[in-house]
Amino acid sequence: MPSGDEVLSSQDVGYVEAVVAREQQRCGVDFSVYLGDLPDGRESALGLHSALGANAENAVLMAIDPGRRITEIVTGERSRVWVDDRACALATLSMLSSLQLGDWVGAIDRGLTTLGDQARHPASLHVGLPQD
Amino acid sequence: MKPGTAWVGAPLWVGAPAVDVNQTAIGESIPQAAIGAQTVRDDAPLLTSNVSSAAEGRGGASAQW
Repeated sequence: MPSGDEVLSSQDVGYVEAVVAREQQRCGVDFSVYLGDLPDGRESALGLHSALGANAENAVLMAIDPGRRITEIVTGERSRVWVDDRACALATLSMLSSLQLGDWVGAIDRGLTTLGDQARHPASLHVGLPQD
Repeated sequence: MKPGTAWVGAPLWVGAPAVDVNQTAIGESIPQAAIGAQTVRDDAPLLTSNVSSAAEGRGGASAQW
């Protein structure tokens, strides 16, 4: 059984960070990923999301607890407009096969990509202020 | 916690995780999920959507696999 430091290599972490940055740039939602202990399940994930502070309302947190085999996605008040609960459910479904194989990086990649696909903002048809 | 970055909670990995991540290593036993057995598993993934915290305006989804 590997220790925690051996679960993800630095290369894996770099890859996950690149996926987070890519999806954030693609859809304008702040994604955060947590891989670790969630002792109280959903409540723990909500607490982590709150820890994002002022950015929480525009953030989407993906939390995975490999030990308890649970995945939580938490959306903020604003990000929920772009990433609704159905999109979150779809993202978790896309992650499950990878999670069952212990492929954490693959699961995160699939989940974030799905969220990014769903979260793309509709194009603005009017960006200027009306003329006086 | 810094938003927008992958936060891998290394300090939270105190102790060994319950799941055997070695099961996907070459030469190890084939994971049950890899042979298509998950369709008949008793512990089929449990997906919960509509877990919104309405009071706080938050939403999301939960899954157990």
